[in-house]
Amino acid sequence: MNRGSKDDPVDRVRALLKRTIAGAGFSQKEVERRLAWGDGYISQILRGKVVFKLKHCFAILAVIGVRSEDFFAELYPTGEIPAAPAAAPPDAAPQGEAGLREHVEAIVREVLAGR
Amino acid sequence: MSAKDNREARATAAAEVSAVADLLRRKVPGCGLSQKEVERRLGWGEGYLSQVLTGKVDLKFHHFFAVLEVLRVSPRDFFAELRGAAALKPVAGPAPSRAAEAVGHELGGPWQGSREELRAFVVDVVQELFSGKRKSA
Repeated sequence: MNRGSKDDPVDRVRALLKRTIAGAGFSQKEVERRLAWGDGYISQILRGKVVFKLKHCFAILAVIGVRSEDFFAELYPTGEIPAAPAAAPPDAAPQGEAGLREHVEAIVREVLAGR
Repeated sequence: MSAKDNREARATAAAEVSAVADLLRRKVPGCGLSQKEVERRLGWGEGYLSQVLTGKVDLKFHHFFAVLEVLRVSPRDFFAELRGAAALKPVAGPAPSRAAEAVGHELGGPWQGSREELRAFVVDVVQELFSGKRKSA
């Protein structure tokens, strides 16, 4: 299964999270404000532009007042075991000064955007 | 569950992530596998799963689902068990900084760790700079 397909479980989390935020009566901007995240960071998460971590999802759910077990029960109500996209092995260390600089710049940009 | 402010939401999120990692750590032997075997099946380097499950690197959704698939556990059942296992408690304080541990790396030559370790280190340094706990050079 390819990452980005409609059956990708991570895409499924993103899609449900997007609907859940709106369904709870919040704008993405308001959730970003409450979490002190940068403008557009949730949009980047939901579009797959930044690596989606569990802490992102749990923080958003906490802000909008949705319990995580309710969220995941809605995500997979039948108890199925989703086929995960091919899990890329953890990245190797960046090589060379240029690679290191590029990697650190990307991290700092992410931090400044509010993570 | 009522809406929460920034600090409370982050504490709740940290507690939930920690609880997920704790349950995953128990699930691996409970499913008759070793961490090494899970890493092998996922094509991960040795010790990476341990880093994930001890909170040394952030748990990403695609890794989480991959581990659940190897363990043959559904997300619904996992979170139901998680909620039943223990009431979550907010994290009392910030996680120990990795920055201090990494000073040797910072001063001792080329970076020797993984990308994930470097990311965690840089995040700590930048956050400490902005919070005033760390003085810029």
